[in-house]
Amino acid sequence: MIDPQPATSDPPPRLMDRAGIGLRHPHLVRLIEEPPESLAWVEVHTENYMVEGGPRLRQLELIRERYALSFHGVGLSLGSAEPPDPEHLARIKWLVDRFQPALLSEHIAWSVEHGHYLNDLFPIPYTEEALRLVARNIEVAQEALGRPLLVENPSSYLRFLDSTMPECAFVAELSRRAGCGILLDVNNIHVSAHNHGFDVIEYLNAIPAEAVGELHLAGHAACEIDGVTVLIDDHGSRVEEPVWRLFEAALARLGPRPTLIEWDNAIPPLEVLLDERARAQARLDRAAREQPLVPAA
Amino acid sequence: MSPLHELQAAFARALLDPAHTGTVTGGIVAAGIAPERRLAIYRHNVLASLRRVLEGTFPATRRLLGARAFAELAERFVLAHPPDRPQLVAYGAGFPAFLREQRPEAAEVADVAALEWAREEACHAPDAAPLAPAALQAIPVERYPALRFLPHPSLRLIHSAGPVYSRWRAALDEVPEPAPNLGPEQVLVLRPAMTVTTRPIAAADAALLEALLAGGTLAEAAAEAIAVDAAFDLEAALTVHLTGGSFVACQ
Repeated sequence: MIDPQPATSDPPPRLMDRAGIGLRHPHLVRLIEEPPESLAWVEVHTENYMVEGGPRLRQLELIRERYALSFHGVGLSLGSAEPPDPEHLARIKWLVDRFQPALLSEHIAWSVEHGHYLNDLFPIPYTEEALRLVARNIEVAQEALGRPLLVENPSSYLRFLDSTMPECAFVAELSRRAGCGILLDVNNIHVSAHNHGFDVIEYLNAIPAEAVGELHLAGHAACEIDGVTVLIDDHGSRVEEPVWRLFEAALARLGPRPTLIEWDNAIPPLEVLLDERARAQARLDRAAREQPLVPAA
Repeated sequence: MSPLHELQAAFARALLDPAHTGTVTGGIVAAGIAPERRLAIYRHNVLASLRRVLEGTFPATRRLLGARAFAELAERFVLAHPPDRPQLVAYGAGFPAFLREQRPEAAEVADVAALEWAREEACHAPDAAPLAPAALQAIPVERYPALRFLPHPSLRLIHSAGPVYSRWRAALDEVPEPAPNLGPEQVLVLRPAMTVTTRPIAAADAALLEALLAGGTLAEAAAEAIAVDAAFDLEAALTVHLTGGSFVACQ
């Protein structure tokens, strides 16, 4: 049943204008037993399947027989000053070889330091030094995995005084230097733009369209700290209206791209998730009509 | 160390110990919010997400300790022993020992945590086809005493000075604590196919298994079991192990 996909930052054509959902445990049995016709692909956190055997891998096999897969990693720590852990790369490679995901992505962030994995995505200063080190890390990872990665723009709650360039310029240049694709998280742009006061359209315009291989949509929360509203990227609710508008602006600029609804906390019934997916799909359908798919050069 | 590496080392240290916050806050843009409060958002994410991982793995332990006491111990565990790899199914191996050290008066709760960890390990252990009961019938009876059994890779044996199985079961079912006069229990955890099984076994049966796991012959293991209980029924115990999938091979 497994049909290997050519892995490039150009997404597989049949997924190009399809919206998928993040695979969550409460929905697993239904997605295996009654696959919704509209659902072409699901995304999983790669690290959740780093087990030697048992039900998790078995369930993922059943999912792979029904849907295309996207592997979204959270533990490679590409933003670290140190190169990626070869053992972790080997674990990813084992899963990639076994499941042949159509999409493969990681984050422009770090989480590992001094042998400790801190299970969050920390920001980096946007400097020439960071650009050089992170591009090297991505190259090491792509070499080990034998295929290009999509790297995701982060959401963040702080930035560093040392930064010498805006985040969008860093992401664009990183993609150029490392030869990797970009997973453009539309909610993250909105969250970080609010938290750090940059313009979302300028950000969007700085991203090289041809490098974008996937889009993410999610909900966020707001909290007040020192009298200032901070947006928190908690993936725990429906996509907010300004994020839908930014998604429409991204589609107008990029054309359709595989788009994921991420929902990791306060997980709703599958119907709600599929309804969010349908909203994203309607916009992808419109974008596909206005900007017909052209085969990658 | 490169400047980026220095920053990351200081940032990670500050997350795990607020006393070190001052070494990184100078490099963070305030923009209306104190840098230490920005850092605290990340500290909260780290602690809360890893606490939730432990809550998911140790539900009965949490019921026995109470949600608040568990959360407090879990967060102290996270700060003292953060994960050593980005593979959270492997996180929590040290938690039962941490409980034993932090709460020596509640050793039986630590035993329940050890049982929950054994279940977690069994769930993700390598798959293997159990030795079929029929396989033994093909071996001449005179060879039985010298047979050695290879345990299933998911097999775990838990010993406790108290009624660890009854306590675990009662906590999961949310029924009152088991009667205080229940004696020590041994528990066999196993995943012969896709479902983890958990069952209490007799002390003599545990002695038999332990000797087999250590590589002993069936005759040696049976002697250990009979030393615990002179009325031990070897054939019955072996039949239960073979139908339950405790072994993958014998020779």
